[in-house]
Amino acid sequence: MNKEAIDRELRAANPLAPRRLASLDLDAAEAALGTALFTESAHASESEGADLESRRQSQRPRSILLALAAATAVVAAAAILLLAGGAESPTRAYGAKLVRFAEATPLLLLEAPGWRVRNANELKSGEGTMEFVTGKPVPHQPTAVSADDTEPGMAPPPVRQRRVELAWYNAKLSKLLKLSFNDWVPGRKFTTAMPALGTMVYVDTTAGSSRDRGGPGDREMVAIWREGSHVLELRASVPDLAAFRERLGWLHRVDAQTWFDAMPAKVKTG
Amino acid sequence: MNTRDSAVTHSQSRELAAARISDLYRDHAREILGYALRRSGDPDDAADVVAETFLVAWRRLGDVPLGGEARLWLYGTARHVLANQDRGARRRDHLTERLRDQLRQQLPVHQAQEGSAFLEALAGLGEADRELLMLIGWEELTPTQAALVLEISPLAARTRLHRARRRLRARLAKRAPRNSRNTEIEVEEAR
Repeated sequence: MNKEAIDRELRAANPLAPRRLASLDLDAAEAALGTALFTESAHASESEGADLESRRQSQRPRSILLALAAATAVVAAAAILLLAGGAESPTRAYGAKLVRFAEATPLLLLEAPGWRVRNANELKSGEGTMEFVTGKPVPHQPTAVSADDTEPGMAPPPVRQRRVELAWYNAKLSKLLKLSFNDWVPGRKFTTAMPALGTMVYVDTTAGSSRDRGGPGDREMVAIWREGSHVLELRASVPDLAAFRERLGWLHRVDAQTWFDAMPAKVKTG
Repeated sequence: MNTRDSAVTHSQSRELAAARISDLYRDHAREILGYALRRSGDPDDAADVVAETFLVAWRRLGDVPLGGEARLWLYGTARHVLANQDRGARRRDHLTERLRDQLRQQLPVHQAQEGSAFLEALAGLGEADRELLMLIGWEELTPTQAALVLEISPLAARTRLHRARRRLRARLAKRAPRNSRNTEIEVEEAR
């Protein structure tokens, strides 16, 4: 049974298919539950809200970073308030969230002509991912590998090579190296190491896990290194090691203001 | 900044929070209900999981990610709620009664699924493998999205998915009558 057959059987075994779920006549019952939930919670939140207000008022910027980030968030919030033309936008609350996210990131950007931040996600506190792209939007790539080592739906190399993914984790460098380079394919080792960002970066030049990537002119490569309290992973499809080294070279530490400015609107506003 | 800060009163903060939780509930309650039903099949349990999940979201609204990641956070919370063995001791029956009644009327018990060789093989996997496969196959998440739900790295999710499929295939092969194709699979698994 190949991968497609397993996926097909898995979907067929779904005890409640999405279409069936959507067709259930539950709107009124769901609305009643929502009302009951949040009416009950509103009472509890009275005291919680007062505590929150107290904490907010007592908090003052503890560092230059926070001061910069908070100022930027307010500027962004104010701009969006003006654009939205309404004082009831929840952007003000989202600004604080973004500030907290920024504080927990390594504040790195891939800076090269035409490249931009497409997305930034917080996985959990202190861990997250950023996606950099150039040109037209790059569609999401399937990452499942089938039994015959292919990845159905894979975009052609020129499309995949317009995207770079940066992730940061609270983990030991050795653990991530093991996970990335040794865990899946027994015996796989990182194939090279090179200096970047003032440290030694370990690079797997054959990170592509399927027959669909890894051919001449199309290599998926991963770099892993330590950056302060984070372990970072930069992943990209590239024509060759020189191109990967070039992308690594585009990665720069930036201040909070620059980092905020680079965020796409959907990240700023949620 | 200070002027704007002080202008956001306690009352306004609560209104913003209430608006956000209402949006989250409106957008995702059905998906969380589906998630719970697929895993428990019990309308009482499922309704309770929805209630508990959104109460957690309400209490921890500051932790709920923005945008599309909110749905994944809710799946992760529902997963923890389902795993909480004490849930039965503090049911929210008074809140969920109407939803439970509607579910009982509209959903047959999932007896038809019992005895399915595929589901038995799936049930035989470790919880981590099984949940990853179900998130992708049933909740229709991508591996990267499933990684967010499971609080693991996208890389780990890809690795785990590959292995989970192999383990599931091996279990299915063991259940099927032996023939040359199954033997081939077992050889592959043994490598």
